[in-house]
Amino acid sequence: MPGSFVLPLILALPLLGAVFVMCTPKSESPLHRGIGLAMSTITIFVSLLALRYFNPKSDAFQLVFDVEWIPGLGAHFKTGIDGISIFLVILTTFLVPVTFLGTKKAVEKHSREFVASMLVLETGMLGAFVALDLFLFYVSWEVMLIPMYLLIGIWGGQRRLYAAIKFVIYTMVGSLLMLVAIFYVYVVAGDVLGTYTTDLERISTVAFSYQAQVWCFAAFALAFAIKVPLFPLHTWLPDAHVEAPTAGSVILAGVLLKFGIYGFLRFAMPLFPHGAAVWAPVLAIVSVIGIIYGAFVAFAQDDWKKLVAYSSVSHLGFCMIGVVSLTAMGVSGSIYAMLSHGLTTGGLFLGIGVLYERRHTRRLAEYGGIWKQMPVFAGLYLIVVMGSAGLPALSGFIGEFLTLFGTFNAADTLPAGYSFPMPRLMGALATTGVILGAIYLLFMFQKVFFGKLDKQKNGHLPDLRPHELITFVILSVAIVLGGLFPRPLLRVMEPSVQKFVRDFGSRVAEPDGPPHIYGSLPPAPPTAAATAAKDTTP
Amino acid sequence: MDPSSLKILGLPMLAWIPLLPLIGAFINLTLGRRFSKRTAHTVAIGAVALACVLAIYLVAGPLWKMYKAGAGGVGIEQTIYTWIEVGSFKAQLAFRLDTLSAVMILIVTFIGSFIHIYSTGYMHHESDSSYARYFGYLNLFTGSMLILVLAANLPVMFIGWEGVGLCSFLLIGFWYENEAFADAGRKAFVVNRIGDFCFLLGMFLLFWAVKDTSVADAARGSLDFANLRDPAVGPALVQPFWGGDRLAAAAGIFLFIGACGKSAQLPLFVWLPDAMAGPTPVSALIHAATMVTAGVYMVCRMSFLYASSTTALIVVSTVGLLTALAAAFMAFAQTDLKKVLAYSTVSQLGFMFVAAGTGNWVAAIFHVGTHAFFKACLFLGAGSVMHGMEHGGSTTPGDIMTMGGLRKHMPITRITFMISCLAIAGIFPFSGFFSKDEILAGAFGVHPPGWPPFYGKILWAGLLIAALGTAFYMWRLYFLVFSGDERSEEAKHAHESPRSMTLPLVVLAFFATIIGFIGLPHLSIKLPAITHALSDWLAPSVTPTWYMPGVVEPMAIAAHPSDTTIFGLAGGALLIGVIGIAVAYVLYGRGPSKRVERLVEGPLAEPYKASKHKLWFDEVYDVIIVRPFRTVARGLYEVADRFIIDTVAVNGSAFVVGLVGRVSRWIQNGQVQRYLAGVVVGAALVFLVSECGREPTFSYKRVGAEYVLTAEPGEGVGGASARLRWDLDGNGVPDTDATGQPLADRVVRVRAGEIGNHVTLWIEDPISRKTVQVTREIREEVQ
Repeated sequence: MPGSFVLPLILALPLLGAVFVMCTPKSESPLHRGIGLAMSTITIFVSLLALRYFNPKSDAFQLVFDVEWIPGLGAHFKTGIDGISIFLVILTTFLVPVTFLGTKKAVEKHSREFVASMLVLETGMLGAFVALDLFLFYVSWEVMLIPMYLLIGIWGGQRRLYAAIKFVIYTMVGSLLMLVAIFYVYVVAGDVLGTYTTDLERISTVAFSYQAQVWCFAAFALAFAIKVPLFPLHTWLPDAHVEAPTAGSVILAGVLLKFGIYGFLRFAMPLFPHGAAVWAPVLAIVSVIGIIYGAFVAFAQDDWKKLVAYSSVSHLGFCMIGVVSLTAMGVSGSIYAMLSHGLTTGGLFLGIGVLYERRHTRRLAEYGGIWKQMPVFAGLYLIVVMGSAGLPALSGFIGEFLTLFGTFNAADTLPAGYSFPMPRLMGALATTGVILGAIYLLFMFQKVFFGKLDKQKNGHLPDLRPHELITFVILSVAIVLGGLFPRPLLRVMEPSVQKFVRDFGSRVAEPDGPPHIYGSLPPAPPTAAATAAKDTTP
Repeated sequence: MDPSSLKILGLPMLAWIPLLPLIGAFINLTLGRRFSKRTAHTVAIGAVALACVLAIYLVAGPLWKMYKAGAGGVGIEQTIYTWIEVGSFKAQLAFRLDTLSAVMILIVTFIGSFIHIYSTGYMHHESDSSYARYFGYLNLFTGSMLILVLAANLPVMFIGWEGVGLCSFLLIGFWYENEAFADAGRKAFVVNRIGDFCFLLGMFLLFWAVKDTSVADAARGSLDFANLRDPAVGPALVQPFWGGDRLAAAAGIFLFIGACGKSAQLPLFVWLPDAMAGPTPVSALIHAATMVTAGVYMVCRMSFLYASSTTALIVVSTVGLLTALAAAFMAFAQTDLKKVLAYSTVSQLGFMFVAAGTGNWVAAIFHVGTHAFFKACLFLGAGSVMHGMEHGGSTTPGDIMTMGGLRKHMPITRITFMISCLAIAGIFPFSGFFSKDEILAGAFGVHPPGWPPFYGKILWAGLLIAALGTAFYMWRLYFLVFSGDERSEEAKHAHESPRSMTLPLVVLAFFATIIGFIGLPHLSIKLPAITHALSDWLAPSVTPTWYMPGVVEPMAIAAHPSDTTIFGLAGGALLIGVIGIAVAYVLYGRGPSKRVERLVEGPLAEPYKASKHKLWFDEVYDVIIVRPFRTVARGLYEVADRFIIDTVAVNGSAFVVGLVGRVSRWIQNGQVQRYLAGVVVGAALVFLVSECGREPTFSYKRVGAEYVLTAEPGEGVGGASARLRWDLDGNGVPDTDATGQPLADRVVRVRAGEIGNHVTLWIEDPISRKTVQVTREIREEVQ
């Protein structure tokens, strides 16, 4: 397949960078960050190559790279992207150099290890987005965990160990349950298919029994819901964000949270459609609660970072409900909202970092009147805030608008057996997030930038330095362009999104598989559907 | 005329109208800090003035031709590109210039230009960087409003709709260092957002209703105005919805709540009086040309929707009437110059909504136009007065109680202000007279199907009362500011404003005087066509008849009254205006009179207090919304999030795990002595309670002629207290001794001849009540 080298290359480049940087002398030097910035910049350009090879009209996986990895296990090193993952990959490769650029002075110790952690993290994240093999996905999923743990635990704030451990344990609980479900799926699918494999595309052809789907979906969903995070599994997030260094927060909010939603789209829902149908009402209600609850709680914060952290809970609720609505609008909107959230929330955290570097406090009450002192920063930050608040013609609006549109229209296109409770009421309730978002974001903006410049320490803050200015200009331009020209992106997503909705609909309408007793079934030849899928897969 | 040929630099001309001010805003907001004042305002004024010229060209040229050809309602539609397209949803970034939006862009760009010019004088004392920032915002505001009025579909309209909200936030909070001003800006945005929330719901509902309807022009997005207005879509709008009413009712009411936010109607008007915190020219811009008229415009733009639902129209007109009355009442006791004007705007907007709610679309837009001129003139006049008072040394330049006698010091301001006051009071021949009269006449004759015939009369009577109040409080204001003697030193030293400020006043006052003559009703007397130009011009763009499927002859929403009625109503309205002015003169003609004090302290004390406190709206909202909101937020965080979820559920489960770990850690601490002690104690315990150690069994031994059998039931408590039964003769049942009691001894003796081949011992553990059966073969030889 043309361009199949791209994905392995973007996985290798950051890892290579990490190796490079560990070969340099340990003493603090700008070289470390230079290598990080260089490697991640090269990575983004390589990832843009993916766009060149990507056929936007096709709904299949593209740029597929497939080699056998562990033959005994049937595990493949199989990567590929479709309309759902392509922009998430680019968002990841985009945010890493932006983070390096925007947080020049944030890390004061072990900068070599810091850069290495960031680069390994990038590989892990990209791996999870491009993996088309359950084993590879799980490995990448766990690989992300370690550097993030280090980022919080070494370069974090005062309660960094508490936050880091909470983050790891919370995530592990979910992912271990997912691992159990993966084992089950692997065994059953192996029996049905005749060969044991972790290849996602082959496993997706197997219909699991109703009971198995309900439980396996629950296990996957728990892992993903913790990552999203859905209410009430969100409390690790504010702690992790508050303690993480700026770079960690940016990546955490900008990319890591997206794996929750992405996991539902790529794994949980396609593999277990009947299970998804059972749990969909719960997910819908929980997302709506999350939207409202996150906004309320964000408003109650006096810690700047916590406020933004809770705003993520609210924003990701929009993404989730868009997916559950199972409409093309809702799902596209959800992906778009994830991209936009990566830019806006990344920008919000970078902005906190800008002031934190200067003042070493995150308490909103310590600021006020900053506009007078840092007008350029204030203006650019306002764009980011408004993007996050979903002002039309900025990127946040498109996703929010489409997910709400999808929710509102959910009942009309749902397949039999799948129910979405009271779509118009849910849509209306979710829409209140529009008001609430304005309330807490403007509250935050006003606290920091408006009012009198009456704190002495704020009197001598220098405005944005060149590297910060470049970072914020890049982000602002991306936010504005994302709001004005969403269609090129939406158009690339659309075929895959339509396929997701269509496949889900047809699979949930089919009967579930027979109950499976391990070992009782003779290895059967691949089913007709599996054969067909194989034929279309080049 | 082919609209695709109307291009400048490859971009459709319609796009340039909002784009020019937006470019101006971009320049001033990015580079403005390095600009001199002159550069900053040249860019800003140039951008708006160019937009104005372009608007005039488009309206007078291509649109005029289309209008003459009978296609004024089709208008010029230009698509720039497809903005959003997913599934069945499509929204193009498209602009639409028909006769309705033409009126609006002319008002916005023309009045906007003069407000820009005026600002150069008013904001002159600002520092260079905030001067540029100010003009940047002003341009952004104008640009957003132009997007709003030119939009060809609801989503694009929403860009402008929220854009003006953002600009109001920025401009009201322009002097952000003042916490109260910043609060006012935030309040404006949040209250607007509440309206926008309903606007979104209305939009969702409409899309949900019409998305499956196919119309002739399939390339359009479903939410294009042209698409929604298509007769094929009509049935979708009148399909039964919630409670059996038409869908148009629900959608119309939701959209109208959005309009309530933007146009400051009950119950969302509270932001507008606070919006006075911004610079005065901004108030003029908000109140006259942009922002607040957006709601009225939107309702007129969606006239086909409202014409499909009596319920929605009743809601619109009722809310409009109540707002007109309430705001007029609240204006009575205000002592701040701009506050009085703010409430007058709210009240006048109420008039416009009554017009819209009675299907009198032309009158609504007519009043938007006349009001734009006289209200801009009033606000700029107020700015001029305050500017003068500030020069006189006043620190509270808006306090009308410290003014008086300014007619001597500010003659131009005074004359223009007076003209505008005459216009707003509805005195012939000033513009307000005509537009207000149109609204009153329309309300008088309206008869919504299914509603009592006197509904229109109630509206009419209510509006008359509001008009009386308007004449009174506006002239109270006028007399307090300009008549009588100076009531403070500062007023004595006030002086006329510079030409950059008075020129716009004169221009606006001129139009406030004459503009009314384009909106006369159709009379049976032959008048020149120009006198009813406006209604002819707007007619193709609005829907004047009820949409009722099945009715062959479409029924007009607003009945056309006879000449006598028109003249009668006009005379009545004029009389009311004169009475209002007369009362104001009696009470305030020479400054606040003793009579006022007596009234305010005596019989009118309670109403006065109510008016002064704006009917306690802010206080009530504070108690029922703002505080509960904070409390809920705080409570959710502290109780639900911190305590229940995080402490109890998350860290609680972690604690349980930790506890287990801690207990086992205490045991496993590496001290061999303690391990050993543990082993000993444990073993003892085990031996004590268990029967382990040896399998339960028995042994036998031949001693002479008899066998001695010894039971070995195991160690420990179980073994010691085990109950035994013997079967010595091998018949399978327990034996008894001589007394008939079961044989239960630990050691039994039996003669060799009596013993069976097999001996069985039953051992019953008294604790577990389990019985073990041991059977052994007895062999001759000695073991």
